[in-house]
Amino acid sequence: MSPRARALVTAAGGLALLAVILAGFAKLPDFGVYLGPYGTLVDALAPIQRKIQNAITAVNFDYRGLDTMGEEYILFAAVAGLTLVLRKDRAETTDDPLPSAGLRGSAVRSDAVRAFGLLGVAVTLSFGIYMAIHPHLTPGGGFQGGTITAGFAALALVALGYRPLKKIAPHNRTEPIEAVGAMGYVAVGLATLAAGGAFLANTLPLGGSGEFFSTGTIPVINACVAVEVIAGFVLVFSEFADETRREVRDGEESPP
Amino acid sequence: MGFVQGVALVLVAAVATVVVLVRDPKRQIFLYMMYGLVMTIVLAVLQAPDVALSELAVGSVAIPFAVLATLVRIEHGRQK
Repeated sequence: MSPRARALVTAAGGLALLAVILAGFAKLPDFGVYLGPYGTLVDALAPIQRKIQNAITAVNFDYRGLDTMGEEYILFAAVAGLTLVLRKDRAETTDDPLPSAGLRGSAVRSDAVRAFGLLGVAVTLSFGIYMAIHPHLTPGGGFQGGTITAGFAALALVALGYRPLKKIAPHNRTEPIEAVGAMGYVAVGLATLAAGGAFLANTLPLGGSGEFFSTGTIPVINACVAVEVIAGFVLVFSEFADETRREVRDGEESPP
Repeated sequence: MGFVQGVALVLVAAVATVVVLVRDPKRQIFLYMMYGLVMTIVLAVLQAPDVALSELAVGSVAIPFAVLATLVRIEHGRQK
């Protein structure tokens, strides 16, 4: 097919696609208008049924708790897969000295970077943990708060360097913590089964609306998710940090 | 659609276009961080604060970090 014919076919296809998309847009509900029945129902029922302020969390960790368990294991599998691929790749290229990318050498790390980085670590940790432990009261939860909290690892790498990060979060520490977090979700499900409910049924006392210890199993499940997400993302960051490390030969002094 | 929402959506379209138009990955990733930030604003003004927080963490820390580390490795492979 000549380039000219190809361009003509592409143009015809593009125009047809545009027509279909525009027709679809024309029938869309107005901006911000919600038509489904489910959201409105949950908004009305969740505060009464579960004494919860954040209806989204009630859906994630209670009404559709099983789906979120699958979601958690998607993350778990993704982290495990990434770790496997990177480690296999590194094992095959061990004798290559890897570049530092300015992530390790002290020359590129100014006092300002160090100070702001450490400030960032403090802010990230406190805000992330706050976010992670209040899923039932404010927007956020284990996934969002966990991701923010784990950002401390990236900041610590920039502010302190490779070695301190490895000291704070070695693989033999992050891996079991991640596994325990992932396991905890299932353990809660099995515990609710043992308590006589369905799998992941909310069998704990609900407590008072707006209190920290309330809404039954939701904060417990959320804590497991938070632990899994934090450890998983820290593991990912430290795997990527390994990618940029400089290989130190025997007897050679490593740069500070 | 409110004025702020409209401005935020136009902004995200503009930044996304710039991200696509810049072809150098090293510059692109910093623009992508900007995109993550603008996307966070869009989600916040659309009253989805929890999604906004996830986007903030993933879009402006996690993805750029992973891409930067990857670029370092690729650069290293080219030098050999």
